[in-house]
Amino acid sequence: MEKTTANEENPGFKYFESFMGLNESSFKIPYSLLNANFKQFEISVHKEASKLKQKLSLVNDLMSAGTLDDEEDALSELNDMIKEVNTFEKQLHHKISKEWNLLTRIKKRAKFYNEMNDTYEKNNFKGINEWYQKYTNLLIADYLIRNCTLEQQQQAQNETGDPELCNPGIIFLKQKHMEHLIDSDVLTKANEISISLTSQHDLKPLMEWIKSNKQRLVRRRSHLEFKANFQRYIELLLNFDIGGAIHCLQTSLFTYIGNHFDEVTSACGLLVYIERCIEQTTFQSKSIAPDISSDDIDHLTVKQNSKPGTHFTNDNDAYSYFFHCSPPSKEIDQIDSTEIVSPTNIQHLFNAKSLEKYTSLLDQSSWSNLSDLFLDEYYSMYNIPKNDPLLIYISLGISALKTKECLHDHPQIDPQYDVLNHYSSDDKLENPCPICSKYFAPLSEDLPYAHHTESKLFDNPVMLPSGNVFDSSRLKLLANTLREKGIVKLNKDEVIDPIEKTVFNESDFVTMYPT
Amino acid sequence: MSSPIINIQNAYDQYLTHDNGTRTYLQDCLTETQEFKTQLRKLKAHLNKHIQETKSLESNDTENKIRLEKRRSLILDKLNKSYKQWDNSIVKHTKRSKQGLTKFNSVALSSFQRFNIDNIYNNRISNAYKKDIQGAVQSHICRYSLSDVPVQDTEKLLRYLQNVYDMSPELSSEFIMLGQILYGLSHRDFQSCWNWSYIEQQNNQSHMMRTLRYKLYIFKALIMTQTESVEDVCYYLVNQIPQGTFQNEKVDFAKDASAMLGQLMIQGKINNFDSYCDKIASECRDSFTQEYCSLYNLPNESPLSLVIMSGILSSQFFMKYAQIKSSAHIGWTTANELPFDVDLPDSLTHFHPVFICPVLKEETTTENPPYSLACHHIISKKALDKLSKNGTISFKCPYCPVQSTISKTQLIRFVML
Repeated sequence: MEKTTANEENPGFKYFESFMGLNESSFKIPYSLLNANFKQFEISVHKEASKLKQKLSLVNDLMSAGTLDDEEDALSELNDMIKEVNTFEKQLHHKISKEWNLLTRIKKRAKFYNEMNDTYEKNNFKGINEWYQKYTNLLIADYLIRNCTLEQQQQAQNETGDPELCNPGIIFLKQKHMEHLIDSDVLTKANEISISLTSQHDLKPLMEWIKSNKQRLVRRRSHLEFKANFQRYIELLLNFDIGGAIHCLQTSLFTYIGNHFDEVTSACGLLVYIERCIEQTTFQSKSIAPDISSDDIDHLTVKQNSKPGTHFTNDNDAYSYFFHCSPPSKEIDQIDSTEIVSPTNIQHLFNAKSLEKYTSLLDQSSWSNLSDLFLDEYYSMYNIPKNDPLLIYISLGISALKTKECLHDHPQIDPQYDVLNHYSSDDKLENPCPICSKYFAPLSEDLPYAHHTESKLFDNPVMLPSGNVFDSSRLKLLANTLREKGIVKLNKDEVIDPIEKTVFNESDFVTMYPT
Repeated sequence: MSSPIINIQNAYDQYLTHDNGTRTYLQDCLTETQEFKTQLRKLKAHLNKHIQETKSLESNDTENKIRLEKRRSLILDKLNKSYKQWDNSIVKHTKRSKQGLTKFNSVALSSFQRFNIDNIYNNRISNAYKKDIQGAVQSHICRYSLSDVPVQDTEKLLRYLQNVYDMSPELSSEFIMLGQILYGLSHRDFQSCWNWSYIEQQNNQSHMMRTLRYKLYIFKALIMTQTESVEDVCYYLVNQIPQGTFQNEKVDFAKDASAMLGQLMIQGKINNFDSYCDKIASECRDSFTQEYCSLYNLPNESPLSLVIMSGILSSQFFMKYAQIKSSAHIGWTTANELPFDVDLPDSLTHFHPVFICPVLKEETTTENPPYSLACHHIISKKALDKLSKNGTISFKCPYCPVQSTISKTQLIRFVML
């Protein structure tokens, strides 16, 4: 019957150590969080001790003076000390509960992974399957947490009515009582910042994170901080906040000019171009429809009006103004200049002039690039796999399982003869191939086949005259079951080929010798 | 127990304080701080009293003055002492806590074989398949986790699944009843399962539900012991369970019933009722799930968990390959086949027959199918063509002395039953 991979002489899961190697972050993350918690604790202890020391020496001084007034002052100082200790105690409580939470994670995880080894040791097949089941659930939770979208978040929150409980992955973990087995706080944080970038175009959470991890980013020579500031600058430009953009350019972007010279110069170029475009379009729209008034644009126009002679009558003028040559002849469609400038048509204008360099800067996909860059930094900070572990294991699993027989149209066993697959008391149910299943078939096509050096067939192979080779005992069992159920009329030593649907005699069996 | 976990557990134990193993040094800090606070409060009360007394005292009472003077310095002394004590112990505990952390890193974490799982992700799954992955995940959740959802009313459950897991009702409705009945069984409610199995038994072949029906009779009797009298339960066990239920050559069905009867007769109650009840309930769940899945043609084990299991088992081979590749600078030789053999347990390899042609050492395919020779040894078509020079000559079987010609060969097909 079922064999497990457990090795008799070497009990436990054969590859346990290397499997644990893949799960190192399960322990490393709580450890680094413990460390961080401890460092904060150290700081607050240090602060507290020096504060108290100061107060104490004050009390000492007052008391030794010995007058009644001084004693009363000392009393109030003492009172302050008690208050101080009180707040410190509260902080301590907080740190301790955090510490316990992290310790519980470590303990539960050690137990969880040990359970795997134990079930292998005991050759407990059901237990082994259940363990893999649990691990699959963990991977699912991880996948759900990482891939949660804003929309999903909102829907889930509507259902649970709890803003803390809006990530499907967290909900799933909770239902499975596996909260301690994944560092969901770390993953959710990443997901939240990523969502705010890609769906809400909000840089604030990212900026906060950058601020609190600045040292690390500098040590890693990360471009994240620059890219985030660059994105802030682009957003300011797209909102026509020229003043803000210039301020941003001066205060933050210029500090990166050493490492990002090209990007900073193109940022400057972009500023000039956008500024002119606003001025130009506003001028034209004003002359055509003078009553159009947008506060921002009016305000800008007033400023720009002090520089006469830079109004362009058409886009070609604009192009020659900036590039000192005539625009390429293969003009794409003309811009309707009566439209007010908005982020969308500004890009259009740039496209029309084949100014890819600037267009790509304005492209909205830069948000997802920024998010990717952030996730890269974030995951490597915690040693978390960059790719979804669920996908990694699926990819490995599929190629290890995929045979040349998979994904082909197989000779179907007629459903009415397919009685052996039904559960009968203690026989385990045979499973249909997971590779050929509905959801995995499409993605399996791109993945490599497993490599086999030995045939994996069945016992007692016999060939029927039809050319089909079966396991003779299974074939007889099939015939018996069909006979018992009265589905097919068969004589005692007759069997049926469930594919060709023809009846053969057992004497037709040809024993095969596959090697 | 294996080494990384032993190390983790040792380091974990060491991180805690030695006296009873359930406290951390930070907690000790808290205790010290609380102690310090009480001291401060006491001293404050003393000082307060001292001030009051000083105020009420006549200024020329020298005897009392000396006494008060003494008390004042006593208070001050105590204050300084308790601060010192607090400070010392905090420093001590902090140091120990730090040592524990350092040890955790050096003892436990360093014992792990460090490997970045991203390095074995050679064959990426493109984003284009996101919907399929989602589908696999959703059907997995449906198959195993519906009974964990807090709402069980059909309509609410469907909406819940749609909102939380983005599942279409078409997908989830297949599994709704499964989830609801399992939920019932987990909460010691056998009635819905009972009704379901009764109806299905009427509609289908009677022998199908035998195990489940039997388990449910036992479950019902077990629940009865909580509310009914011993006589009633015994009567039920002996007379009301159809005798046919216990007749199965393979399983000793009557064992549970007789054990229960025995316990009831002698003690009037069931030993370890809760754990026994949980055991029976879990057996009912297993049995019911299998029946349900086979009846509605649902996968008994979700494809996702099988793939993941195979992925975990094969990861070791991928890791070894990655290590060899990086040290020997060798490349992936075959584009559409893994460069190594992955050893998987039988339960994962029984889906399709795999036949390796003994001549070409290649897996047979539809283009290169297996052929049986006159001696009933099997080789692939390409090998056959080679040996027979495209059918022109007779040849010796590579395994035995029998001569074959192409006319004596037969195309065969392996079929798993």
